[in-house]
Amino acid sequence: MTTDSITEPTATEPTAPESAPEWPLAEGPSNAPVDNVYEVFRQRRQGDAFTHVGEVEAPDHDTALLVAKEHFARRETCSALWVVDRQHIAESVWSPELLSSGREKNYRRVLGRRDSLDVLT
Amino acid sequence: MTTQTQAPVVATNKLDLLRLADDELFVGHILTSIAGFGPELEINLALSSIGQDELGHARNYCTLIVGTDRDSINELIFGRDTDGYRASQLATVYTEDWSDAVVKHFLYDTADAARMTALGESTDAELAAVVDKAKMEELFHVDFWTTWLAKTAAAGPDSVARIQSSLERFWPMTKELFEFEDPAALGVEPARLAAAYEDWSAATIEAFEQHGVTVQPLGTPVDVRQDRQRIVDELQFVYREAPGSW
Repeated sequence: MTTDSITEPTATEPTAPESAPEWPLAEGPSNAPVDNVYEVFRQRRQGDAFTHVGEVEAPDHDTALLVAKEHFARRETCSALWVVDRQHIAESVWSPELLSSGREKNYRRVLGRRDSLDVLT
Repeated sequence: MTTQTQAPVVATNKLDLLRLADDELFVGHILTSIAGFGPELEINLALSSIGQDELGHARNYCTLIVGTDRDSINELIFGRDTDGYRASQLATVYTEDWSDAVVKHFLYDTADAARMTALGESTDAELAAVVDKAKMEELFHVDFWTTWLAKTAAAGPDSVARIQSSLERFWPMTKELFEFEDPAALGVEPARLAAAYEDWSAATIEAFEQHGVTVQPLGTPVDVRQDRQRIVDELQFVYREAPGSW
């Protein structure tokens, strides 16, 4: 489980259902789901922002939350979890150079609001 | 294999505590042992976490029997003859199949949570504290197995038939989880445990029926002596390699 999969641009499209491995119990329900990857976000304390902590594989939201609870809430502080099907995340395609060009515009920083220089770093 | 029994002698009024410890010990041992065989990485990690919780609970119960001395706890856990282990039959079933694992642990963990609610009201403050400490972890376990029972049952008629078959073998073993030699020594009224069993049993029958699984009347439990021997052999294998050096 990596923590940087959202920020790293990926070359591949989300897995199409026809290329995914067959669900072992495909003879059961007619539309048995293929497991998806769910991105997991954890809130440490009530009121905090949710932070991406990793991902889990699961057939649906309920199971994704269940395994996320097992892996991301047992050993560290946690007040809530979100899971998001990776297929529902849209990622930018702009180059990192373009997106980081704001670094050259120090004169636009509103230092009056916050005196630390880490606003854009 | 030589048998060198070094285990501390357990007082008669502590034998039910030993039952509780051994139930958790066996369940924890099996879960951590099968953690490499689950259908997915996520599941294996969860099986291992749940198993480790149970081993921790076993250890906590052991402190009520022999105190917090590390060697005494080790000797109690690893140093007994096979017959000295008092785990319930259901705790002893060595599951090697997903349906068996789901059904066994759904039954065990929901029943354990139910009896722990009763034990948490014990007049023995130390026991009540140990139970209270474990309660939140037990909720993780109940959640995990409840979800997997539902997911497994929803996978189709073949899965439901497997659950039915597992349940028919395990259901007769469930009543024992609420039966103790001397409930008074645990600081609990026998009637409280009987009521906990009745409530649990009714809720469990309903839960299985919702998944299309029929619960049969309590029959004769299957023999688990081979499973017990296997667990004890696995548990003690390393310990017996070098007696007295742990």
